[in-house]
Amino acid sequence: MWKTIIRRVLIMIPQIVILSALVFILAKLMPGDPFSGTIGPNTDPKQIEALKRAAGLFDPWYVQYWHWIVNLFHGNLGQSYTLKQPVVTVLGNRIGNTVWLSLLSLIVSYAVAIPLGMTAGRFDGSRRDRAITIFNYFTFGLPTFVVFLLGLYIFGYQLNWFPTSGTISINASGFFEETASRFYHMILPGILAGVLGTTSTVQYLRSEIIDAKSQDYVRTARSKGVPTNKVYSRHIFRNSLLPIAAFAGFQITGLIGGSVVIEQVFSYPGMGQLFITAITSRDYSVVTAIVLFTGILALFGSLLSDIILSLVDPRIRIE
Amino acid sequence: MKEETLLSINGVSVAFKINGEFYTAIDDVSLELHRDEVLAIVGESGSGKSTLATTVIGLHNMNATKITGEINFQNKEILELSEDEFNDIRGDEMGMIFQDPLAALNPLIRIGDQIKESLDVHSDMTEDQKQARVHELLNQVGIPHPERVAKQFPHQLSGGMRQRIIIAIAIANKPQLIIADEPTTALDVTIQAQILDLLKDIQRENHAGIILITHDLGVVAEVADTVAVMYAGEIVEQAPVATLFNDAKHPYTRSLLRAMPTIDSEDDELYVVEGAVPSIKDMDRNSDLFAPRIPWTKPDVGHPVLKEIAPNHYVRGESWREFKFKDEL
Ligand SMILES: Nc1ncnc2c1ncn2[C@@H]1O[C@H](COP(=O)(O)OP(=O)(O)OP(=O)(O)O)[C@@H](O)[C@H]1O
Ligand SMILES: [Mg+2]
Repeated sequence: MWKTIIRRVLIMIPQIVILSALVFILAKLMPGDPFSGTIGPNTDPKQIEALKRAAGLFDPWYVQYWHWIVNLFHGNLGQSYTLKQPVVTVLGNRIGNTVWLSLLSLIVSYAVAIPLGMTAGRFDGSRRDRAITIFNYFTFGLPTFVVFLLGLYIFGYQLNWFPTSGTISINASGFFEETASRFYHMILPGILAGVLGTTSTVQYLRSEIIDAKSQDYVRTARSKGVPTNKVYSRHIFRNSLLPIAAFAGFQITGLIGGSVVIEQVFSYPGMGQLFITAITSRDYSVVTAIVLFTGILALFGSLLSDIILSLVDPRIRIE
Repeated sequence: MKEETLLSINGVSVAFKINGEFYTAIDDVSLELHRDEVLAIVGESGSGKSTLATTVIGLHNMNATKITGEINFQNKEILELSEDEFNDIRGDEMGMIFQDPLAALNPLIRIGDQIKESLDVHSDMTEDQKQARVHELLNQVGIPHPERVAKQFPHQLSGGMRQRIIIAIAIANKPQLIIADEPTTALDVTIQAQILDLLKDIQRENHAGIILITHDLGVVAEVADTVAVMYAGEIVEQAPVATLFNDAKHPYTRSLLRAMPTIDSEDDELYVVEGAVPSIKDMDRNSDLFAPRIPWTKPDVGHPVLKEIAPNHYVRGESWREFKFKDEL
């Protein structure tokens, strides 16, 4: 199994090189340079050119690329034009928020989707199955934006059950209180995003189970006289959950990338919100950094998926 | 020698629901199986062999299947059993060996655990005893290094090995009845022979009855005592094995025998029965169902019935009396 994982990690090296090259090209294509915004209209053009030359902007592309990579490894992603802070600092503040929120909504999503998918698959064609299908139409068809706003309005403003914005209460002090407050702020957006994110898991699990039911190995199990409940828990559900588990890695990155809407609605300072702000204010160095970050995250997501798969599926484990 | 009757199937019909309508796949089949007997069921693909076997072991999806008739197994009317009652018998008093060894094992569960599952359900052995029994079974079905194989996963074994595992599962609790649905079709000839020998050994040990489903008449000649020939869900001829090979009557049986490759026949001389078994949706149950495939012969009028033409030799209809192959006309 370790061999599989090591080989899989090695594959990531060329992937990261390609990704970094793409992002570098993207960064070069974006308007502006490190001096945009810091230079007034009266500065001598000669002086600007000298500054740019000193910064290496006239070097051949491969030298620039090399410098860019070296900087990257030193955690130097440039300055945010609008926030006047290093990009790394700007991102650092947000990443944690987004990761925790994504994790919570992922957990909620699985906690809801797995039992629903199992029920729908096991009793396909029954009334329960049809009710779940209708639920699925809603989570798939309703505009996320509207659901989030409604949820915020009802549970946040009307019922006052949950805070309506931010990540932490200003009154919270001490580790325990702070953590509790952060969690409290995450609950409503986490649940809403999680429930809306159930569609594909429910649908996929349902069809996997229906498919597994008619597999020969299930018939073998039944021919041993294994009681129906046991046939489901030991043979059908286990085998049907395998692709879901394998997909979890991708799900995580998808959620982190897809948290734009929920963070906007809940004024939750995370990556998604930062991305929107950076685009609207043309803060290109931040945009580039976020693209790079999500790209790397996606690569790690697929790595994670492959590792999970190699853990749960013996057919892969052995190789 | 008067053998004890183990299983008797009386007038069993099976219909499947397809798009809301029932279509008959097995029509009024009656068979008897005794201890120590091998009953072979032969017929082309689609003739209903697996459907009949699945009925005996009670594995049809009852939401979409209608079964009528009676099946008596060791003095129990098994069609009347509840799911729980049937689970007590399945895998204990009767075991089934399935057609496709590649798909019949769960890819995620270790071989040993898949065999042990039969013991978990039906025996009150301790874990150690079960473990020992698993190794004993693996040994019995001819698997080298049982301890190691028990810890392996199905994909690590060859097709022949997997078929042996499936046999080990089916016989784990020493069943009285073994249903083997084409146990050797997927295997090469030497392994086929080994598997058949193995089945015979197991039978001798437990005095079990075996229903052997196959479309390989060579296999039938080797191991069967009685043969039932099925076509379109009906038995068209049934006889002791020697009678069937020496004195077959029904045109279908004779066609099958003629199509059987022998050592001195060359490939291009092989007889072919034109056409195929009709789909259950297209069967006119009120006619001579095999007649369309021998158009030069005068068919029976209406639905031909099965008659005992000599002791223990049953043939359907009358058209066989006149039947000649085309080149004999
Ligand atoms: N669950 C089912 N639903 C609908 N039709 C079915 C079902 N199972 C079998 N049939 C049909 O019943 C007929 C008999 O099928 P069966 O599998 O019993 O044939 P068989 O003799 O075992 O063939 P083979 O040699 O290919 O295994 C076929 O026409 C098949 O399409
Ligand atoms: Mg079959």
